[in-house]
Amino acid sequence: MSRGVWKGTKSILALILTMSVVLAGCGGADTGSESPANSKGNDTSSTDKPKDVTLTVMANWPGADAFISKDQENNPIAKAIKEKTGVTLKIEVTKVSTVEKLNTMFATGDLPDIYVGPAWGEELNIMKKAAEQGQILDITTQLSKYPTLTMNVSQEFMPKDIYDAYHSFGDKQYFMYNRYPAKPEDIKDWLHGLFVRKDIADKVVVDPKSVHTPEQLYDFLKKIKDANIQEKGKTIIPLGSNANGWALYLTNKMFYNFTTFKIENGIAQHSFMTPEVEKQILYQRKLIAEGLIDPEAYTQTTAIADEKALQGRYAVIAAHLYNLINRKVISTVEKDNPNAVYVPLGPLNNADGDPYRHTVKAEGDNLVALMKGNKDPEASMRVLNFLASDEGWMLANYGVEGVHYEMADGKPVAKKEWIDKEKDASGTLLQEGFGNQSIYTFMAGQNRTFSLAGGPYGHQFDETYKRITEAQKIMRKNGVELLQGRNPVLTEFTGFDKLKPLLEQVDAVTKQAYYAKTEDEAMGLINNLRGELEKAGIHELEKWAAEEDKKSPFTKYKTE
Amino acid sequence: MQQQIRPPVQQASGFAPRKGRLWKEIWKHKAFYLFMLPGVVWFIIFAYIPLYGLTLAFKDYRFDLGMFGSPWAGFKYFHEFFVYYQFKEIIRNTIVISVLKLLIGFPAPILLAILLNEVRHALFKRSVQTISYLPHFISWVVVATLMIRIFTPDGGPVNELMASFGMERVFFMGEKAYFYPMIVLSAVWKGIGFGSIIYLAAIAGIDPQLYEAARIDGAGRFRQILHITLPGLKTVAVTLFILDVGGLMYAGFEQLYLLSNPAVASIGTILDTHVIQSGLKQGRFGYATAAGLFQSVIGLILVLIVNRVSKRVNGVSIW
Repeated sequence: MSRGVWKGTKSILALILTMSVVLAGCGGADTGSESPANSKGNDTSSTDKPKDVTLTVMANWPGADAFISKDQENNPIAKAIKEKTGVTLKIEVTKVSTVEKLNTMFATGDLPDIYVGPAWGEELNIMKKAAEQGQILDITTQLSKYPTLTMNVSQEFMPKDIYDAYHSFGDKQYFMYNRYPAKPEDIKDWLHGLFVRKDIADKVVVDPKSVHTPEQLYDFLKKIKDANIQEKGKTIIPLGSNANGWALYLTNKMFYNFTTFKIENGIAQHSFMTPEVEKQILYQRKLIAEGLIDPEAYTQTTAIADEKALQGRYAVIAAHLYNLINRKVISTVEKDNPNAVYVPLGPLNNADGDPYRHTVKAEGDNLVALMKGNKDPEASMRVLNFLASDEGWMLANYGVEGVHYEMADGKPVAKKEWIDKEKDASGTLLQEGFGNQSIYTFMAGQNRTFSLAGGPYGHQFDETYKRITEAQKIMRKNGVELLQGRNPVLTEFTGFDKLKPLLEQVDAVTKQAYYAKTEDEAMGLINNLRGELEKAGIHELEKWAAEEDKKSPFTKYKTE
Repeated sequence: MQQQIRPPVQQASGFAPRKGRLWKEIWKHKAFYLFMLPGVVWFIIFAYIPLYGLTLAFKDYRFDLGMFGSPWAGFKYFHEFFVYYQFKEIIRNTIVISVLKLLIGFPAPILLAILLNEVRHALFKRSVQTISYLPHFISWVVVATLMIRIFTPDGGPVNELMASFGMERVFFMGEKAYFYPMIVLSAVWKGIGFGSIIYLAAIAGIDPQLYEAARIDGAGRFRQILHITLPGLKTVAVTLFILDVGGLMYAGFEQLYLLSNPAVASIGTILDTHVIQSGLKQGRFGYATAAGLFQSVIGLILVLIVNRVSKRVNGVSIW
């Protein structure tokens, strides 16, 4: 290459770099100009109308677009929020997996003003790393001005492990915690379980309440398969799920109920290393191999799973009752065939042969944080504080008083016309901007469904809520116990980096084993990964867990 | 013939220019260079500048320090990749899928081009060409969804047809025995038409006098294909083969990402999907870049080897 050409290339490169810098500079200047650190909105006691500001929100929940009104600016709730706080929220929802979204978001630096996402697991680990690496705003000073928000991250209200994680930055505070029960009556029991079409159980002459053991479930599913029931030209599938096999793992609870570690007599064993996990995997493998579980259960998308569920193709479906209600599975199937009513199956036994021992955890689901480059932290805190107040919570969950509900004896009563509208056109309430799934509730502080409102919106009229009570009678004969203990924070174990990539393979290998042609092949897959885990130090992790458990006990028994 | 053409070409393109003459020549043909500019800028922005990102393979990436400021980590991630317990399995899957695609997918467009060239009915020929090109323009997302729907054991047309003949329903997308055939055939279906364009162009460039001479000498259709068409395609075919071999470590990310599932993951996980899995899903950017760099280096080495072998054996090479 001649010197002339090189000089020319250098000029082109210099031009591109200059352009990039200029463009980046413009971007920075733009953001800067919209960052009035001391805007009027700063003063929470001010009676002046707060300055109008638009804030971007990333809701890291794939599929949550369904919870957002198409008109984000002019729905009644958005209008009320703007009137009270001057803030317009422009909400985006992730299209990829939650962990993938976080990794790409921080790597590209494309950050929203406010982040809302899962409050636990790997998502929490990445958020902690991001906070330590300066990607999230320290809100300690702002929090002190807002008692409601401060209360939401106080030890009194938070599960210990979540509290520890949120307060692990010395005197700095980065995260807020949302949608966890304000009072014991607000603790939500999702009613996870297997649900069966009563008409099909009748057809094969089995009482759904009589199915408790793995053998009984196997026999029941086999009877359904052998009956070869056809509806509208299609075969009824004995056991099905939602996308990616959710929630078929519920059948696992028949064998073991311990959490990450099985800890007995001071000895800890990682759950994947236990003999129980083999039984559980081989059981599911058998069900798949014999065509008792939908072969596509672990490979299908939500659209395909919904198609099958809404057509009533699954005789038994693994889910929680709210999922079946929210996805309109129960109402649609029943509409097409009035005899096809989904009722709880069993419940299934736990490892001790008890079908009625059930635990729930008083936990929330949303971590809220202000991100680096937030264009107006004061306005962000103002809007979050408003949403977390009783007024904001009622707005997000029940709508506008006089329009969507009226007050009677201190409790809100939904206007029946809205319940009817929702029945006619599903999603009407979400288009209005409210409801217990509305995206605004993700930022609306503690869950006060029963303590403040006496029940979910429309429970007085909506018959599906009667289903919940009926199901509770069958599934929770002995009530529910509040989960004790904390979850282990594996990242605190030195040497976890070596184990992490392998532990992240557990789920994939388990699913591969479900589809293995033979039991030997399944065991080969399990043992292969176990061997690698041993080499990477799983037994050291187990020893660490046993020690940690002695200091402050982990949760040892957990049903869904 | 070449000698007659060469002098004016040399003059026009300015071979062996003296100092400064290059710019004069560029200026003279500025319109052509202007056409080339978007391509050059594209390569600089999307192919050359991002090369710097490869340094991530040697760094402990931090969100706050970014690509430039993160501390160096040496060859740590390469070591982790080479000792990863599924390393051999992933490399094996990648190579097996690529080789199968190459064995079947490489000659397929040549065959189609030859067949199309033999078709005399113009309308039929054009229709076949158009229909065979179309799949190239359909994204893998759509193709994967179509395949899942067509081959599902739950009411898919293929299984329904099989069932009507009293055959057992088969979960084609979840059976290891059918997975590779499904992958290879769908790739061939998608690429055969578009791939044949270049061969059709090459066939069109063969001197018709050669065919006439062959016919006079009594050669039939088959002999003409064997002794005129195929040798005429040799240069193009070898060039494309060399380039295809360079992509041996790329077994088709989109296709495998969309079509692989837990039932076939043990034979369907390839380097590309592993890179995405470890990079984006596990946030191990350094490790993922190291695996990606390894993939590229192997690709480059393969191109160099095949190019040299081809130069020696056939006298055809890309440089």
